[in-house]
Amino acid sequence: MSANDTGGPRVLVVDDAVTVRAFSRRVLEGAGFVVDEAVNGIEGLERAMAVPPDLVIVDVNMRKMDGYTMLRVLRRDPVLRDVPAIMISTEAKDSDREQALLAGANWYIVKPPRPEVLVEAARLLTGQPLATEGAP
Amino acid sequence: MPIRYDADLARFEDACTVEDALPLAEWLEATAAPRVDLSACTDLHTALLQLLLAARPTMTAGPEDAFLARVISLPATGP
Amino acid sequence: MSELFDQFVVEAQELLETAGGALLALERDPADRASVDELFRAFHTLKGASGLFDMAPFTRLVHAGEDTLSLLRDGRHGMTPELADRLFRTLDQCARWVAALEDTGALPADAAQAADTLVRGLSGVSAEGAAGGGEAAGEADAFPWVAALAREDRDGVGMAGGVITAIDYRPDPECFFTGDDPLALFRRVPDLRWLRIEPAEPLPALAQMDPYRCMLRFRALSGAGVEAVMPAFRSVPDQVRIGSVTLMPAAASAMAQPPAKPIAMAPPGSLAAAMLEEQARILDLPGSAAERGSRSAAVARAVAAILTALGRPADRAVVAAACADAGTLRRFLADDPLENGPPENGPPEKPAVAEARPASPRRALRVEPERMDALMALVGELSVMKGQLGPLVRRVGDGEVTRDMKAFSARLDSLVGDLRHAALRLRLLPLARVFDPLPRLVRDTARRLDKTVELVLDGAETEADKDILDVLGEPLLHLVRNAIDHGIEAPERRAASGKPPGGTLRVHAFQDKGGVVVEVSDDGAGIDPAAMRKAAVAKGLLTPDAAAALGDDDAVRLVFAPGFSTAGSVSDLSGRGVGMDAVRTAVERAGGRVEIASTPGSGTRVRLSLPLTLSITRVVVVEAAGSFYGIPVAVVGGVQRVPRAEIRGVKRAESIVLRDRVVPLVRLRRLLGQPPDDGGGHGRGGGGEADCVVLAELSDGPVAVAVDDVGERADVVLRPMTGVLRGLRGYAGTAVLGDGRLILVLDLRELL
Repeated sequence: MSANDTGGPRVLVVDDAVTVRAFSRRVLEGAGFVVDEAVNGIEGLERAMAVPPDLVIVDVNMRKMDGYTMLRVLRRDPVLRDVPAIMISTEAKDSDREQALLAGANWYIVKPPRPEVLVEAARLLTGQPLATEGAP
Repeated sequence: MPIRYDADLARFEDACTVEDALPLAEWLEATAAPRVDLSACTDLHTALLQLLLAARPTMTAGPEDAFLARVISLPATGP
Repeated sequence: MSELFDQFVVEAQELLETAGGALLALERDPADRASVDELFRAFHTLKGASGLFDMAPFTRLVHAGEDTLSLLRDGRHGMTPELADRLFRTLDQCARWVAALEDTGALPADAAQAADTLVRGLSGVSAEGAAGGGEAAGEADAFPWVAALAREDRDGVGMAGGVITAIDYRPDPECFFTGDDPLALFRRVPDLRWLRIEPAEPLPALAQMDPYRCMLRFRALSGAGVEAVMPAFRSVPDQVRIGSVTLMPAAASAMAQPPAKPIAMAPPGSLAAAMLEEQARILDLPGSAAERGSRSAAVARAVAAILTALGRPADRAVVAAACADAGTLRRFLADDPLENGPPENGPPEKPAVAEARPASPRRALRVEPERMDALMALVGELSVMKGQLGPLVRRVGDGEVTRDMKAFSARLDSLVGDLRHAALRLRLLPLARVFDPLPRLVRDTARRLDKTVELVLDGAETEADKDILDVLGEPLLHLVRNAIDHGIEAPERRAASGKPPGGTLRVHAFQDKGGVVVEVSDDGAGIDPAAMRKAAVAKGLLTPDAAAALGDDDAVRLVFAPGFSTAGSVSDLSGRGVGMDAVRTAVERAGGRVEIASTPGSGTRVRLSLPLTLSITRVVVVEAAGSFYGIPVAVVGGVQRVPRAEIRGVKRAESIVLRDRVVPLVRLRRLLGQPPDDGGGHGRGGGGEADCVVLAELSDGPVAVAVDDVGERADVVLRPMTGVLRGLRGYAGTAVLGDGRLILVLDLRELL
């Protein structure tokens, strides 16, 4: 897990909704991650190839290149093929989940994500110690 | 005071209301390793629950009240 | 959350605009796949983005829109005008909500109802379209978290496959102050099966937390019916959503096989455990060798990361070996990792990539209009100051210093000129902004009148000042509405007169001598001058004689007279009292003018000419009785000297013939209440035999304004009249000329 110079692990958020990106950025940066953004699959791949992330979080439906395609290409790239990926979508159906996993996702989150779930999933997939769990 | 503070242990008794929120918040903040005992608590105001969710103190005893027992036994973070 | 919220508002506006355009295109060409996709994506993105906030009705509505569009996309439903209407209404509603969100930060109180109505309309479409589709949408979609419930939770609820009541309660953050205790409400919920309380927003650190602000969200399931659950929440109807949903049995899919052995490395029921189990399942997914290979590489890395996060790091090579297949991984995870051999040196770390590419795409800069105005005012002041430098330098006399000062002054001149030009350009925006609403307007208006109208937009890239665009917007809408309502005939009538059944409406913008021109022309029935004369007499606007004396052009121009309407029947579209005179007033107030040309039987063209900017006006400086005045160039049709002998008439009603037209002549001195010119003195060069005349093209017709002298043309910053001057009629404002002289800028329309 190569954490970069600026501190936390690098997460690449790929979503065409600026609001979703801003939300993810806020939540993840608040948890110490370094966040990079892209608006579609193509830009996501470009960003990932320029600076390999420790985790990608990908939306499904985007113009130019959707999330499935992006993950498939990512998994074929010699450098990026093992980067953990979360697919995030408004669909809660098992078939959508399976599609995501088939394309190469490691985990699937239904939109809107709960901030603490997003953070916990990102921590797990980047090997960051979880926040102290002392639930009453 | 339905909440009795005893060093690092707070005992919730009877119906704990929103009036307890500010003292509880201050105590939780000031106490290094806070513990709570909810066994005698019969009613817990949302404001207090919220503070417990935020501070996550160690619970030495859960509530005996059936409704509260279900609420408190919930994991603070879901799956 | 406010910054995020603002971002949502902007994004939603853009998406709604995109969706509107796509819907128009789709209605024109129902086979347009790209537009269906575009529209679908807009709804889809709106759904995702709105879900981040507490605006369930909004999310519900766009979700319904998305469902409807997915039917269109899959070809299960065709595009119909009715469907387009419903989708347009949906977009309109969303736009209103976004406006409300921008203003008040919340949806209006009736949002849930409004959403219900529209959702019903849309799902009516879905139902007929998806007959046999077998997908139970409806209220389940309003509670997406129910479908997303983890297996343990579903089992706990114990009603798999049954109908259950879902409760989604987001208390008002201020509710503690009004005595609410949200948790207490759930004590009154009958047959409470499941309750989850979680922060609706990330909880701040305890020290920053306001203990009196409710930041929680409650989601619950009850085995009782909706009616039985409802009373518990009677006091908070605006903060809660209650509906019945079908809880799908958990183990329905093949993917939901329970693990052979519990995962020992993560607490049962934790996210980590679920994630590890998912990694095992991924290894069993079908695919080519290459696909499975890369999947297992990703799984190995994910598993290693999860174990590290859990504080139980394992050797990468060992993990990789364990990721051969699902069974091996499950066995590995069921054991204690410390038994899996001694740690070795793992594979070398992937080389870190040094520098990051800057990730800033070009973005438009948004500037507050007030700041822009302040800049323009300063530029105006600077121009004036600069103007005073010239005379000052001349007064210094000759000499080396003067020469240097002159050179300096000249450079300053050109810099200020450039600055003014640059500042002016900052405010320029393309006319596309005022063109944007037209396609939709044309579509709706034509549909209501059962007419077919093709809209041709031309010159949307033409630029004008923001203020001018604001002035232009309303009149343009009115002209377009008017053209469809009164200009373009019904298809039968068009066919009868040998025209194509569909009319064409052309809106054409272009730049013209320092101003911007917008023409609205139609190929409709045109305006009949005879009918106009008759109507003017009937309405008592003109005497029969005056009407008869009116030329055809002037008769047509009567449409701009206040309260004039030529249509036989007043339609609800443009017969609302705001007629063409409102168009004229708005345009002329901005220093522009309106012209109309019409040929009976073949169409009408209305031309709006406006200055490029409101704040800087180009004026012709004229002199009367020793004072200087400005007349906006936009209304000036020409300047010439007219020999006294050619001025006809008696004292109070003079006229001259200009370009074969009889034009009434007014004297500026008289208009301003100044004594008449004695015939000597002024008119430099012209002597007493000729008058200086400015031909003003007003929409009522041309007027010749006689002045003592005509000076230069100048760009001035027009300031509205203030203080005691404000009451004066006939002036557009004051302005300072380059040399520091103050002039009054005339509003001839009001003055006459």
